[in-house]
Amino acid sequence: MRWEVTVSKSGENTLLLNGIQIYSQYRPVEGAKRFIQAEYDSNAGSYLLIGLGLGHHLQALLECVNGKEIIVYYFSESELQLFKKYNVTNWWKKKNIHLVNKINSLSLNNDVQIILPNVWLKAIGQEHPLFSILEVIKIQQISYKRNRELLRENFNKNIMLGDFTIQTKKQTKIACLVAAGPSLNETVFWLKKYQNDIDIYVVSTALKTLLAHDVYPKAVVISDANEITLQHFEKTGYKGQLYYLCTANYQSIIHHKGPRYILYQKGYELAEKHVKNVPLIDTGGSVGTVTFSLVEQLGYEKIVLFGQDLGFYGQHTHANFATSNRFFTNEFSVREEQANDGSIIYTRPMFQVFKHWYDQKMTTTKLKVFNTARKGAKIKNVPLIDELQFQHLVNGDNL
Amino acid sequence: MNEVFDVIESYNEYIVRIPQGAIYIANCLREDKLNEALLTIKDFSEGVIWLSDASNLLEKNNIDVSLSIGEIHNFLNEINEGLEKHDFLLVADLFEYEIAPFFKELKMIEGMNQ
Repeated sequence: MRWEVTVSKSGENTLLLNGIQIYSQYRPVEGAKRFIQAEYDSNAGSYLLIGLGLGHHLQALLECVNGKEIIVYYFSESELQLFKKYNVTNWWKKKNIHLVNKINSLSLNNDVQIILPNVWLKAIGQEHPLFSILEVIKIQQISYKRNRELLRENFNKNIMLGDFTIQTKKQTKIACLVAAGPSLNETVFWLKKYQNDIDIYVVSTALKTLLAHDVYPKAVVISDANEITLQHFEKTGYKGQLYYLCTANYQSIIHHKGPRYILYQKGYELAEKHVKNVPLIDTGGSVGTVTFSLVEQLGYEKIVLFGQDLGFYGQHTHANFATSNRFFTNEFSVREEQANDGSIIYTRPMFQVFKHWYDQKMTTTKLKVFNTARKGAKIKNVPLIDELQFQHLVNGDNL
Repeated sequence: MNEVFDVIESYNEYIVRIPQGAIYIANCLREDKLNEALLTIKDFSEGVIWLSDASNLLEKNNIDVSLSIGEIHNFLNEINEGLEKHDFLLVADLFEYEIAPFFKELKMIEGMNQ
């Protein structure tokens, strides 16, 4: 890690890490203060601040917290020494401030607010061991902040619909989770051939792809809070089962004429308080991961992933006819990832977040999981299968 | 000649709006609203390229334009460099402390200099 302290145009010290600005080069103290004021949640019981640097964020946070506990994570010993060198007045030596260098040994309360200035992610870079987990936190924070009001509005309306909740029971068939990744173009024909012997749970973005190939799912799943999901059903005439997150788009739900099931997610306070004796869904942040958790809760033993690519090759991010298909040109933040067939494919930060969720999920789930996306991202401990192996699974054979 | 007057009018209207847009971009970058920031930066780039073309046209018609095209190109290059290395704070600084004041101080075109 390359630390470089310079003097800003205002005369205050500022910092670059690996050539990336941690604070403004013009008014570093004011910039850090503005960031903290915009992020600060006064309802939190304590605070975890990622990154110590020269202490500008910490100083701004200290002014807000009114004696509440602040834990500050610093990335390296040289960062701590740098901080001490430029903060000789010891203003930071207070009972409620703890500087730590090990994040995994921390025991955090539920009401802790994690404050993560995005600049640290950019500066530490993708190679840093903490990058993935910090990026997951950051992306989820941004997404929640953007949709907070909409989620609440949908929740309040959806719980009034009186729809079915889910129950766990033993299932006899195998479940197929169908998402809209490009590999579905190759594997949709397997689904067509065996559709009478399997239970197909499709994310709404891939519904049109299935119907275009005369494949009829057992259920469709939606989770998005925005009206975009309305398009996924347009002109499909779909009247089968619909599973939806309690915060999903209300308009899309009331337009549906078939049986509807409401799903309550883990970690969303309103949902957790609202229900008793109903299995909670671990969302993972995408409709695909929600569908995985749903299948798990419904009591299946085996699941086969279709179009859950979490990456792409060539120029298409999704399957043909999929509502979310984008033509890939020169998108920001594209990265490389290892595919199931050993080749290298492209991925994006959001896909990496979902893959990280799957990797973690595989360490706890009782489901036997198989993947069909040859050019999809390699999920830990999930074998790639071909059509013949899929046929064996459908027939009830063990692989 | 009417066309020239139209260009002057659009030019004046546009440079007045830029400082506010630049602050909006800086705030979006600092508040992690990257998509909004990038879309507005794209609009900004197209806008200043139009300003640069308009300046050339006006100068050909002997109208005095105080806009420094070289400075605009410097801004665009610095924005690109910052975005390429994902240094969003650098780009935010540039919009708030360089680009916004630059356009705030820019004089509007008042008439023909003949």
